[in-house]
Amino acid sequence: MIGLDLTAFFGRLHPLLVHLPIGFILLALLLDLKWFKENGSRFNFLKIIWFLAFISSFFSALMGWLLAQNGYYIDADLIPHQYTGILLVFFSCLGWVIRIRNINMPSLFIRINNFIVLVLLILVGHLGGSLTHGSDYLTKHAPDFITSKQEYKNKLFEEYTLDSIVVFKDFVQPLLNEKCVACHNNDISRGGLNLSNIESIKKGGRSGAAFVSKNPSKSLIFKRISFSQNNEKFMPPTGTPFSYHEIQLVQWWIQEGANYAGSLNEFSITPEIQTLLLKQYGLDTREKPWVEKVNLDPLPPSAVIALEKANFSMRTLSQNNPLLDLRYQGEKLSQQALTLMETYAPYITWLNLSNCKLTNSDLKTIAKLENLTRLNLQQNSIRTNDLAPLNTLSHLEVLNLHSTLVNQDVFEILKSIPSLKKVFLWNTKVSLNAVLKNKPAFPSTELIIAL
Amino acid sequence: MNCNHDHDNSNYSRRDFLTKTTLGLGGLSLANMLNSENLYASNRLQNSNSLDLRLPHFVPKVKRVIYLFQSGAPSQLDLFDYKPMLNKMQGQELPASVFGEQRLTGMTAGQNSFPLAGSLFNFNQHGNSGAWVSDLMPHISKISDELCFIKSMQTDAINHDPAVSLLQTGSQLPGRPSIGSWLSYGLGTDNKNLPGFVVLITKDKYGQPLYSRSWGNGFLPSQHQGVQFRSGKNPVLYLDNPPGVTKQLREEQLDYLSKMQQNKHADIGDPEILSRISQYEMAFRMQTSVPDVMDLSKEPDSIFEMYGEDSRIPGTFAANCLLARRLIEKDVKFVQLYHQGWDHHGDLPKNIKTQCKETDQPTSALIKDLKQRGLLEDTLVIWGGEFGRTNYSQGQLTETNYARDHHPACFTIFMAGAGIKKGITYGQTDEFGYNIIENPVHVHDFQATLMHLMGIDHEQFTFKFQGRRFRLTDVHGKVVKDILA
Repeated sequence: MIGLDLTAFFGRLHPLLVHLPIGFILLALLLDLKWFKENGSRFNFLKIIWFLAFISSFFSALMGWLLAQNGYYIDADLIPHQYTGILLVFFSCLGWVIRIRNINMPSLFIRINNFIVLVLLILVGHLGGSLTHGSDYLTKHAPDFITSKQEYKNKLFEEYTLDSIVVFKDFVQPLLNEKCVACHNNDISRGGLNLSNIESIKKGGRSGAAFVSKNPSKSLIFKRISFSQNNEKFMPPTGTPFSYHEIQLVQWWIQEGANYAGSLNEFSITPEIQTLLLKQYGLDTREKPWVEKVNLDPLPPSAVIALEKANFSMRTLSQNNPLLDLRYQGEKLSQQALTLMETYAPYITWLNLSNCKLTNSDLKTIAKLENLTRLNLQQNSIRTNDLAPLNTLSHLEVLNLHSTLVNQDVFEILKSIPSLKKVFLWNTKVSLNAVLKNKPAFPSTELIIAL
Repeated sequence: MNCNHDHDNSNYSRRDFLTKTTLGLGGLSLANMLNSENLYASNRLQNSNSLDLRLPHFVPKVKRVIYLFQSGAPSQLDLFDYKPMLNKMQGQELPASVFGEQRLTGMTAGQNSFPLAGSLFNFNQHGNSGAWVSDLMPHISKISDELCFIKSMQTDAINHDPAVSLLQTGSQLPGRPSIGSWLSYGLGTDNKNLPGFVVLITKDKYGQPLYSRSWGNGFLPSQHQGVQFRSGKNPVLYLDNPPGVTKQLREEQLDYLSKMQQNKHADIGDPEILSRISQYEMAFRMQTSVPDVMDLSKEPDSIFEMYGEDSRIPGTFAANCLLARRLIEKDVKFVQLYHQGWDHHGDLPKNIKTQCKETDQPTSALIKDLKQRGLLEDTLVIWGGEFGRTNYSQGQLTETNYARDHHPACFTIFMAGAGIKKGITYGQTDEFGYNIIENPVHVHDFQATLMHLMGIDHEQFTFKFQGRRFRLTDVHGKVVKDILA
């Protein structure tokens, strides 16, 4: 192991040493320019510098070779750097040799050699830089006109529908491509693992299956990417590790059955994944509220005038949503108001009829408002049985019954409206105990009596 | 009369006039057009009671707002932002690395020592959310699971007036419309008998002055300014008929006045005349609606107990909170309370106790009351001042006494109600409670978020004035999506 340690030790001197030949070579090239050699007196000096350039580049290359042995680099990136490095050593050696006094070379030859050295120096430096800092290091903060700024890679998902997104193809494979495929592909398949296509992923590697359906802890890829980064089996060994969200996404995909063809609508989306998709991919998988699903033509202006005349104050939900938020301003709901409500029934989604002396028959009309999602009936002398017709309201989410005469039998009626999310029962004949007792029967409905 | 009005918002601008008259036909129909009712209706947002099809931009989560403005800037370090490090380093100098380049007010710039002052008050975590609240706010701490604390608010201003202006109008310079005015202008009122924007100020409180321009309409039509309701016999000044004038007489008088004003409007086309007509009419309706809403006699004793005994005394913060609920029940869009006296440059421990006693229970009661009535479903309650206070003592630091100067770099506000996550704490300050280390929320971000909750895209909602399109958030502001429910 001593030998290996020394290799690593000297190998790591490479990044230190590489800057020497850069300096020497540039100095040599500079001194070779015409205005620096008005007389030949610098010839010897130049020879020494070329020698230093050669010898420093030689040792840099040697250390680089040692550094490459540890295998942390991806061949595809490493090899060009390696060969241009060796070429540079050769040409800088040539630069030194042709300046040894007894060799007399035509100046054209010298110039060509200088040019080659310069090109190689830039190339090898750039390749080496990309290798250690990543290929976008140089251009990342460059002004827009130098680099065409890449939009956030996942931005385009916003326009997609859920059934057009294949979870593996659109979320998982891109991660594998980005982080794994450089070492696990058709040509190089380290550990016998090829992650570049679905068939070979299914085959797994020498150590076992890459993904085990519904079992992340047995899926080798999931294990390797979620190890501690100090673990020698941690993957990927170089480059950016999988982020927390990326690991979470892979885990979820495995838990959901590691299905290669399934589209997003076939997966069950947990709240965590919902947040992740929204934040990382701009993909909104939350279920749309009913008011955003209804499609209606705009309300005719005559309706607005008629409703206002009948003592309703109103507002459309938004500029593109003709559903109505309606409140009766009078003391007692009039027959005219009821008729209008029936006429424009599909439009009414939020309805406030608080404190307007509602009767049993009024509630029968309300029950016809198919798109009703919020209903405020507070401060009316209505009783439990009066609410019975409301079970036709299949989209009702909020029902306000505070300061009414409903009693504990109201829970039976509330059960017949499964869409309910919130019911307000403060200041009624329903007791706190009755609410607590009935709470388990309403897992998705909040019963609010007091805070 | 406003003769200097903006052409874009007038019914008939000079440019329109020239275009139409030079086309020949227009000249003949000009008089007719100026008298036409249709023209008024077509003017944007002129009639606040008509169903406006432009706003909101999307389905709102919040229909009404109660803003409990704590004027003078409460000390976040003694109420919500728990910093044990300050107690540990009590009396030591604020490290230069924390201090950074924060500017100081003239009140402490001369101090040659900035001794860290830990809070004298105990902090505990409350509710399932584990929100930190000090013993000063026992009632608030009980409802912490309903609240969304933002501990990373920041502002640009270091003195009261510019900071209040920035928070209320989006600009440190006076003269821009207040948030409530913007909302009243954009969304209109839902109750034609009450103004859309009502202001209630705790009486007999002193400290930093409050200027009516904080609830002013700026360049927006003047019926959108906040209307202050006072405690006492005349809640709205000059609303009652003068002695000897009967209601019927008043009505006839207003009808005639309206006709005269319509003529004048037809003559010169100043939209402020329309504003004035609508204000006269609103005032007439308010003659009955205001006494009704201000009359607390029908509130049961249990409610007074809930808001605290103060609530029986008109003009207190507690009574105003109760009024705020009554106004919200009547669909007033924006109710703004002001409570002065938080500017604790001296004797902070003593003074903050009084302030908390006056505000803690009513604030908590208001939120509870809104909740049980179902009003919190579409109402947002905001509690907060204009900036924070420093972690070092202004003046002498003793074992039992300290004071804190203005600190714009971080402060805490809380919200409750529709559209936002409850039981969360958003943003974080450093161990010294001096700088923000996570999720800063600038005043403009807060305003953008408020607009978003009301269904308005703050970048689209503009008003053209003097050749420029103005917005509440000027050219700034990002909706804080993380706190949206």
